[in-house]
Amino acid sequence: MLAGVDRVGAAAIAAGHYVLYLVGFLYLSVKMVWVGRHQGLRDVVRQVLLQVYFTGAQGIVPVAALALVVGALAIAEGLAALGPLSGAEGLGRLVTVVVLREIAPLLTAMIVIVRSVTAIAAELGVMRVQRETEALEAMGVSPILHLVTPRLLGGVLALAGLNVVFDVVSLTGGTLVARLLAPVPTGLFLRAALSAFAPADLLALVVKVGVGGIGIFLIACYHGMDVGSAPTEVPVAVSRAALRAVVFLVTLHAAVSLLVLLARGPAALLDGVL
Amino acid sequence: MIPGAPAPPVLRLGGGLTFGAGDEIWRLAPLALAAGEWVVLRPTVVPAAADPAPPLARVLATVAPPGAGVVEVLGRDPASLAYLDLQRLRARLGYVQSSGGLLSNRTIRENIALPVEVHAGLDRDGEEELVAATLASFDLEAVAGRRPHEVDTAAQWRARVARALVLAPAWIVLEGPGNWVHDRGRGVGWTRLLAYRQETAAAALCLSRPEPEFEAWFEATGGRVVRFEAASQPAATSERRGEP
Repeated sequence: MLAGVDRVGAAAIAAGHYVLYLVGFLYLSVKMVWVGRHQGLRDVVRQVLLQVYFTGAQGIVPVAALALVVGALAIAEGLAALGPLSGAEGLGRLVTVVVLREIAPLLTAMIVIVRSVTAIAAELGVMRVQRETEALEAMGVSPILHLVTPRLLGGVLALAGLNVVFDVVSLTGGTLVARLLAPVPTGLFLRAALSAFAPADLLALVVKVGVGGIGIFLIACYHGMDVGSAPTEVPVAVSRAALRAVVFLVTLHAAVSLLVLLARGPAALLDGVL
Repeated sequence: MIPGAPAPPVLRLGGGLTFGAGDEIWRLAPLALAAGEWVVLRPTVVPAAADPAPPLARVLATVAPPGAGVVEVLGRDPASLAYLDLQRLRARLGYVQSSGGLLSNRTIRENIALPVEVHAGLDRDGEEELVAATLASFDLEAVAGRRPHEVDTAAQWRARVARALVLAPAWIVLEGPGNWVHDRGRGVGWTRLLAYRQETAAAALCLSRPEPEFEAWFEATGGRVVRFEAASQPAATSERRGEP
């Protein structure tokens, strides 16, 4: 019994330390933008754009493909469950509630974790092993400013862009399926979908994408930079970064969605959807 | 500094300087490096467990603190400097690692351009001119657009030396330069290093394994060889190993 309490306590302390390290790491990454503003900001901007390209531009195709399938499936399943009588308004609200509010930010971030969080942790880890970060430090070039900050900033910008892509494509997919399977007026369907998106939903989406993006890219950079001198540490860092990013993301999304639902009151749970 | 007082040594190691970690801790006798002085610093023997050069290089390059003792660069203790002052001091260091060190996600040109962009204070044309001249003098023009893993190891070493010298450093730390024995004298890397030594008052510390041929050549060019005891120190743990 006591051993179990010990283990839980130790895990809680370790988790607390981990969060503190991450917060410190974030503070350093932001602070370096100001402290190092005369130390090669042109290179930092270049690295930000490269990160937007690697995470955002190169991620458009998988995100769009997934969004099309998800949007279409949501409407098809909605029609199958509720029947054509549910009408354009019901289907539009379904897309907003299921896809735009919940699935889009979560699935987009999951794709980014698979593609970019793992890549960043591996890249930074290899740079540590090959003593590249040490060379930067010795040259008087901050590894935080030139490696971590651009990946954080570029990653979050790319994630925001990919969310927009997911939303637009899933709405398009949903609209197409709605037109194919039932006599649903497109204008009415889209108006219903967009009108179901309340200001609180927008705020929740911004938190999910913004805080979620900062969190997963921070975890990636932290584990990459935490690698020592052994090449065997790199795969460990990659797997830890991916797993912890997923845990963080799911926890954050669940917490934000729950808060929004609680803020709306119990009635929203009963009649908010349909 | 007091007017008329002698200039401080470029590098001063003292106070029972130790470096390394765990069982592998080495101790250095006091050493002062005057401007223009080039020294090979090598252990009397290399222990089987680890090469002392990288940990010593990290201490000399100010990226790791010594276990004990003092490292003073141009009369200043790096540990006491504010962040930006430390970065400015490091910009006056040329650090050539024995392997790795070049940024793998950038081309050879970008590797050399980065310290220029951060520290040189030139306009874009000036930066490009300096980088182009450096690439040319190290015979790197043909591989300038390639990444480090796409060029041979000799070109990688030349790129490391080029990047180290591009800002005209006041002191240089060379890790394992004897590895480039085939490049010595005749090769572009060492030729440029020797020319830099003639042209400037920069001091250099070459961290080497015991390599008689390299040391003889180095002394013939006017350098000095300093040996230090490399027997792994302390190690309370290794002493304990002998206990019954």
